[in-house]
Amino acid sequence: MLKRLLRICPFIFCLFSLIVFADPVYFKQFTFDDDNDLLKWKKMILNREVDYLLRWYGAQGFVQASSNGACSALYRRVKYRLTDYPLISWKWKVEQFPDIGEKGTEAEKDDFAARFYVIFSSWSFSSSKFLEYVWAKDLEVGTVLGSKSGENVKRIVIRNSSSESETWLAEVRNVYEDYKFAFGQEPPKKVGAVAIMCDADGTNSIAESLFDDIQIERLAEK
Amino acid sequence: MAKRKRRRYFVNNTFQYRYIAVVIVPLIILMAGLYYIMYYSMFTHMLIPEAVTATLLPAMKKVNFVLLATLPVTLFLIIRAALVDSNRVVGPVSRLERELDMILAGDRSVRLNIRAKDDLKPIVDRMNRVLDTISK
Repeated sequence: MLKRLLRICPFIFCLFSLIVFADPVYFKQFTFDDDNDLLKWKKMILNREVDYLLRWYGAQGFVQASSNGACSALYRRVKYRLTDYPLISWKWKVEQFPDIGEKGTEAEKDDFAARFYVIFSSWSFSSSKFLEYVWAKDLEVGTVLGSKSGENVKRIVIRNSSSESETWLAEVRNVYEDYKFAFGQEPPKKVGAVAIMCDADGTNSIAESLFDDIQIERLAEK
Repeated sequence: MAKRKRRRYFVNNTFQYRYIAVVIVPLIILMAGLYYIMYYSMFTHMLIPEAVTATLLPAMKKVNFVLLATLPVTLFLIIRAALVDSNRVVGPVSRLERELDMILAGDRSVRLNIRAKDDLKPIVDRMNRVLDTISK
């Protein structure tokens, strides 16, 4: 009996080590497949409330964001080292773009059907950084936009109306590289939150987008 | 005992400097800390940059303006309170030293004087009772 125990001890030790020391691929996964998944996300209303609702496609849930001249975000606090988990992936789809005219005003141009924020919160607003991925209507993919909110906010256009919008589109972004590209400097060490937003308050029109499967993950081993 | 008005709030004494510093420095640190906690908790609650710039920063600008406008009055009141409070301890000391010197010089009729609100009053009262007992 004792001999048999001693024989399986190394296997148990290896299994224990794997469980304790193994680095998970994902830091967080937000699949929205549970009824309570949205409860852990907080609302921040900027100009009237956007409806963020959990919808179902069979057993799979997703978030539907519908804005009727409104602008509000849904955010989730996360705290992790960006160098440990530099990738963020998610799926999204734009159902309706805000009605931005050809000669849209600055406020109108500030409306995006879908935005994804990575927030590097610090001890003050001026030292916090905000990287936004936006699905614009008319802007060219790859454009880096500033924001009237300040120099610490950068937006990267990663989709526009010419992108295929009949189906869900999956994004995998290297936030570390994107930050360097947008800000031209090394990113802060820690990410503080992620957020999604749909806004159409500048145009006072209707916009709708869908979000699903947000994942914060490691770089794949080569 | 006749009520005597305090004439000098500031007696040039390192103890009083130290006392005032002990009152003012923690108070300023506490106020700055509370201000920061208030700002930071609102900032972390809002988090989205558009929300912060549209609501929090204008509000903080107003708060800063009010704080700056009232700062001279606030500082005056704090320093005045610190001076009055410290003077209740430090103020009578030099006079007590003078009166005790007179007693030591042989004048047994001298009694120690102190204002009703001074912090050393209970001790001075007892010392006067001791002097009364010795004089009998």
